[in-house]
Formats: sequence, C-alpha cells, structure tokens
Amino acid sequence: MNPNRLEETVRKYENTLYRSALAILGDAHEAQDAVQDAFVKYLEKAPEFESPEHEKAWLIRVTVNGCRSRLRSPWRRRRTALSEGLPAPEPEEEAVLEAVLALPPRDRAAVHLYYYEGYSTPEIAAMTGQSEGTVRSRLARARQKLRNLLADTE
Amino acid sequence: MEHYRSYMNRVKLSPEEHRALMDALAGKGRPARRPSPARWLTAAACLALVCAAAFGIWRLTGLPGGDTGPSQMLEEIPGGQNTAGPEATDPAPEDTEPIAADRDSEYVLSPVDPFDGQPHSSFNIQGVEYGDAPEICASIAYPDGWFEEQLTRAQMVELLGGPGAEDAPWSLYWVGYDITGKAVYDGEGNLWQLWLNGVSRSNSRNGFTLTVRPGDYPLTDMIDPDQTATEINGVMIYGSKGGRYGWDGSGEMGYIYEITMMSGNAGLSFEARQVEEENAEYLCTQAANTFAGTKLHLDSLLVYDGDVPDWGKKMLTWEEAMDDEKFGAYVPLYVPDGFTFEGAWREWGRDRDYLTLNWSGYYTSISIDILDAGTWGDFTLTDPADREKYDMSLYATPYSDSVPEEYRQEFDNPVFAIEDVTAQVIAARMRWVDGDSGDVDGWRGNFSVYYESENVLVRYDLDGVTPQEAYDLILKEYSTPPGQAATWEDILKGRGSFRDAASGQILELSTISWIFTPDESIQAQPTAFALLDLDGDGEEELVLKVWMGEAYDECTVVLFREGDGLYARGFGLRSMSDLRADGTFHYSSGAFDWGYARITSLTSTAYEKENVTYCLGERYVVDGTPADEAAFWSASEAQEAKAEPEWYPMDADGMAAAFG
Repeated sequence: MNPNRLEETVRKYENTLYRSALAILGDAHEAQDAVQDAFVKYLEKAPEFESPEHEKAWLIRVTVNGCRSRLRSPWRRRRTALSEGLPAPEPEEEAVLEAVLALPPRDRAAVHLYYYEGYSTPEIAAMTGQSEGTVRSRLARARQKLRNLLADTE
Repeated sequence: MEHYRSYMNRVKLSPEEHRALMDALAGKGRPARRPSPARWLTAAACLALVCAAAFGIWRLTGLPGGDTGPSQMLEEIPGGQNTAGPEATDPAPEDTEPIAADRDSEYVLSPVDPFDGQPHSSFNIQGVEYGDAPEICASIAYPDGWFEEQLTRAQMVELLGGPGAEDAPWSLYWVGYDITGKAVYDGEGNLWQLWLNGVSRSNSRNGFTLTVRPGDYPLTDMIDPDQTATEINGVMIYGSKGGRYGWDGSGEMGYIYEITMMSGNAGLSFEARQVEEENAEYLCTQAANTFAGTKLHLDSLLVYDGDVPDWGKKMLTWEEAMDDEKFGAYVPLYVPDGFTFEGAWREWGRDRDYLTLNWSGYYTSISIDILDAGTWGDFTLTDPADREKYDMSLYATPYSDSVPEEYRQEFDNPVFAIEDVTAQVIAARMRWVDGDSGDVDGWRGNFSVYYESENVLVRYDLDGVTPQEAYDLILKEYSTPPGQAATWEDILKGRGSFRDAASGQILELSTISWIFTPDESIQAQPTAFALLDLDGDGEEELVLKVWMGEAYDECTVVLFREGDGLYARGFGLRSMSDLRADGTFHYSSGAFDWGYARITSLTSTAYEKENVTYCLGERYVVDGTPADEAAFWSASEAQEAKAEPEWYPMDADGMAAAFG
C-alpha cells in the first residue's frame, strides 16, 4: 500500500480503534497493540470497501475480534491501571468511567460501540459476532448497572 | 453517558505512539509499544511497571537493568506466537535440537537421576484439580532500587531441598532439564521475588518456571476465591490449566498448567509448559505434592549478603538535566522551534544508568536517551562507509521487505562513533514523510552516537526535525580543537561559553539573560544575529538581538574576542537600537538627550562610544559638528534610511546562510 495512503488511513482511524480497544481491554498498552494488529490485518486482508463507513466498521470489527483473542490469551495475566498513559478523568467523569470499567469486557464492548460510537444493536452484533439478542441483553445488563449514572448524565 | 463520551473524546494516541505505530506498520518488526527506558518517563511517574509471569523469556536484551527488565518482559509475552523458552525456529517438534547449556556452570542446575535410569514412581501422590486459568492478574511494580542476582546451583539446591541437599528433589522429575535462577532484591537488599526456569535438553519447547516470593503468593498471581483448589497435607493447591503457547506460525501449540500454593513461609507458583498436555499436568502435580510435603528453604536468600547497589531516580527539568554531572554535556541546549519540553528522567542502579528527555510538538517529537554504554550490552558501531547498513534513502518502505536480513538489526538503530558523525551521515538516517488530510509533513529518523572516551551512548528518536536540526542536537566534542575559543557558530548553537564583561559571569546562550537580570524567570529569546565590525578593529563581532520580555524589551548583546577569550557586553533598548551596517546605532538617555553613536572600543574591562549625531538639550551636533535643529533632523532622517546589517534568523537556515 502506498505509504501516504496508509498514513492517511491510520491517522483517520487510529483513535477510533484505540478507544474501542481501550474500552474492551482496559489497558492502554494492550489497546495500542490491538490497534497495531488491526492495521496489520488491514494491510494484509482489507477488502474493497463500499464506503468510508464500511471501512471504519471493518476496522472496528477486526479490532474487537483482536481484543477478544487477547482476553482469551493465557499470557494476558496482568491488568494495569487505566490511568497509566491516559488522560486523567475529570471529577464528573470518574464515576461513570469506573462503573463502565467494572463491567465485563464484552459488556464494555457493547456499551462503547452503542453509547460512544453510536452503532445500532444489529451493527454491533455484526461487529462482535454475537446475536442481536445477546447484544441487547448485554446492553440491558449494563444499563441496569449504570442506571443511576445514566439517569444523571443522559 | 455524556461523561463517558467526554472522557473518551480526550483519549488519543500521542504523536510518539502514532509514530511507533507507523514504524511498526512500516515493517520494523517490533511491537508498536516500546517501553524502553526512554518511554519509562510516563511509566515511572506512577511506578507501575509490570512483571511477566513467564520468566522463561528472560534472555531478552536491549533494556538497561538486565534481562529481567519488566517492561521488556512484558513486551515479549507472546500472544500465542512466541516461544516461552529459548528461541526455537524449527517448525517441527521432531526437528528441535537439544539445548547446549553450559552444565558445568555454577549457575546451572541439571538434576541427576538418582535411580540411574531404573524405573521408579512416586507413591502416595495425590491428584490435583485444575480449573480454568483466571483471566486477570494484578499488576505489580518492581520495588525501588531493585537489582537482580543470578542464583548459583548451590543456592537453587538449598532452596529446593534444604541445607545439606545435593540435588533437586527427585520427586519433581526435573531430570533432563537445565535450570537457571534469578532473584530480585529491593533497594534495601531484601528478597522481593525469585524465579527458577527449566528448559528441556531434549526439546526446548518443554520447560517450566518456578516463582517464589517470601511470605505470600507470588505477585504475578491473584487467587480467585472460586478458583479450583485441592488440599494436600493441609496446604491449598490452586491449579489451573487452559493456557496454550506456540513457537512458530504452524499453529501447533503446547499446553500450560500451573499451581499456586504456600510452601512453608514462601508462596510459589509453578508453571509447566509442555508439548504434551499430560506432561504439563504431571509436572505440576509432582510439584504440588513435593512442595506440600517439603518446604522451600529461603532463609539464606532472604537478605542479600553483598553490598546493595547504589540506586536512585528522579524527574528533572531541562536545566537540571543539563547540570547532570555525568550526562549533562550531552543534553542539547536548545531544540528547534515548535517543541515543548515534556520532561526528563534520571535513573541509576545496577545495570542501569541513564538520562532520558522528551520534547513534543504538533505531531512531532524529540526523544533523547543518554546512557552509560556499559549498561547497554554489546552493540556494533556502524561504519559510515557501509551505507547499505544505515542509509534510508537506499531502501523503500516497508524496510522489512527491502533491507537485507543481515543488515536489519543494524539498520533499525545504527550506532555511530562521534568521530564518524557528519551532517551527511545523520541526513542519511532521516527520511521525509509526506502527509495530507491534515497530517504533518516532516522529517523522521533515529540513530545513536557513541562517545568512547566517556563510554556514553546517546540515542535519538526524532519526528519533525530536519537533518540539519538533528545534526545540531548532537554534542560534537571534537568540533573545537582543545585550547581554542569556540567559534561564533558554536556559541549560537549553545556549544561554547563566554564571559560577561560587566559581571564576570561565565555564560552560554541559554543563560544570556543573566547579562541583564539575575531573575531566572525571565527567559531570553535570541531572535537574530549579525556579524559586523562594530569597533573598527578589523574583526567582526557577533551581535545578537535578544527579546527579554515585556519588562526589558529587545536588548542587544555584542560578543567580541580578546586574546583567547570570548566576552559579551549587553545593551538595553535605550542604550542601543536600530543598528546600521556602518556600526552606528540609536541611543536615548532622555527626551532631550538622544542621538546616534558608534562603539569605538570594546574590551573586557570597558567600552567606549562616540556620539556622532545627537541632541543634548537645545544643542545639536551632526557628525561631530555643532549644527542647527533643522540639520539635526535632516541627519536623523538620513541615519534612519541607512542600510541595516544583514540579520540572520536564529535557526538552521540562518546558521547555514551565515557560516555556510
């Protein structure tokens, strides 16, 4: 791939993928590795994209899948504080951030893709390889846990 | 979720992280994240370094602090690709070559079969339940002042078998393995944690790691209350399985079983990595039964019996970094415009002695690591004549495809002896990267410089710095022959000193503000320079325009030579301004006492000036001759119309224009 094209693509999506990976893995360094893996796959296997939205969704799906593999890896035997290498949350952000990070990784993935990236449950299901029902259940469970915070902030 | 969104909106890859990502994608073959010493700046701020459970990968190099540098181990933890033992490149298990360990070394334990090959078995061995491995383990931090020590065979045997033991307990079934050990102590010499790592001589893919910590479970393991547990001799054994590891791209993987338990006053985890699952389980079960019945003996290892190495660490300002006794000379006195100093970190201890500095700009960065080369391990000096080993212009990206394999390691980070450093060599290590769609075009590159006389290695990782600017960052200790004063160019680049003629202070460009004020909060900003003979002695002085902030406005500093020394005199705005190419300038001592003068003498002890055209009260003088007011104003107009000297900007272009 043309280096300039690659640079452009990376610049365009790196932070989107980074945030998604961070939401799932909860670790800045792992998230960076996951982003790298996603772009490597992009270089190796990216199909012809119908639109920029298609390209973005493909990259996010690859990233999410990569995060799932990392979560399963036996070598993933540590967790670092989210604050390491990341911006410090504002006081009003701390509570919801803590609550989201306390969710299981797969729930966090659904929450991030739904509430931050704005994808619908069918889109999230396609990205994460789960059924729509599973995604809705995860969101419902997350909402229940975050209910008080969501009521104050939505 | 508004606050979640607001926080995530601020989460971005830093320019440095983006650069690392691009380099990784360009095929340098390393993970994008590279928590080298230089990057410890962030990690060290919260002292949250991570220790890997798989200590078998401790033969890594490249990080001060020895092989067990936590960040490096973390880097190399495989996601299913890298071997947990020594590097194995053969694709098929049956092709694995036996390990050629130095079994005679006092640091290698190779248990001997006490049964001389006769069949035997362990009696009363209790089975262990193995559940799924817990997903998450705690993060840990190495203690302040940590240092590591290799364990001797004798120490390992005593640990396992107690005083008087001659070998590892046979019930461990470690015959056929070569075992090495390391202990990490804290800055007070107390044992923090130790590891024994065994590698099979017949198949390097088979191995194990025993982790021991005094008083509690090893820090790399968390005990989940719901974790599968078996009680043996009153000791709870937490067994887990389900890990896999690979050694090549074939997809073939081995099995990992682990137990965690207390053995006397020590906590331990034992991890077995085996191609055959039953062997992994067997080794773990044997270990569990052995250590439940035979306590580990840590007494002789609990306190380091040698001299605890001196250690320390601290954050530094740029100025403090420049004052560092060992590495300060290598710290650049200035960096190109557009960069903000982010921080400096100084750390020393056994096998680590370095100073790292970082600057950042808009998608640009400067990272400089200054190291005691003795802590860095072996490296090769790159011969400038061997361009194929370092010249980026010879290859296309990705470099992993274009750079020959035999040069790859050297190409990734060439080390040049300072004597070989030229602008052309450095330029060959910088490449231009085009950007669009809001990207930042710029030069990028990396290289290292070695100073043999001081055994210091300086590593540069640059983004947004031109080749000339990169060259200018380097301390060129041989640019000025000993015994001679620095050149004007040296002074302008912050590589020489001069004496303030008024106060006697020894100053450099970075401290030029002290000519005018001792207030260090006022930072001088040289904005331009000119070379002209002010005092008519046939030798050009260096004239600097210096912005001294709102309080002092624009001042002028004139540097001149006297004998072998360099001196400076400062002139405030009212004393000298509007300099002209013929050396005349404007001065003002009051509304009715001003005019144009020239310097007639500049020495280290005094200076003299001649007022040429001026008014003093109602008296007017033009070119030294009394005149009327109209003539004075006419002469003033003519003075203002005179040509200025050639002012050069304080940047690389200016230096090049002035000095070639």
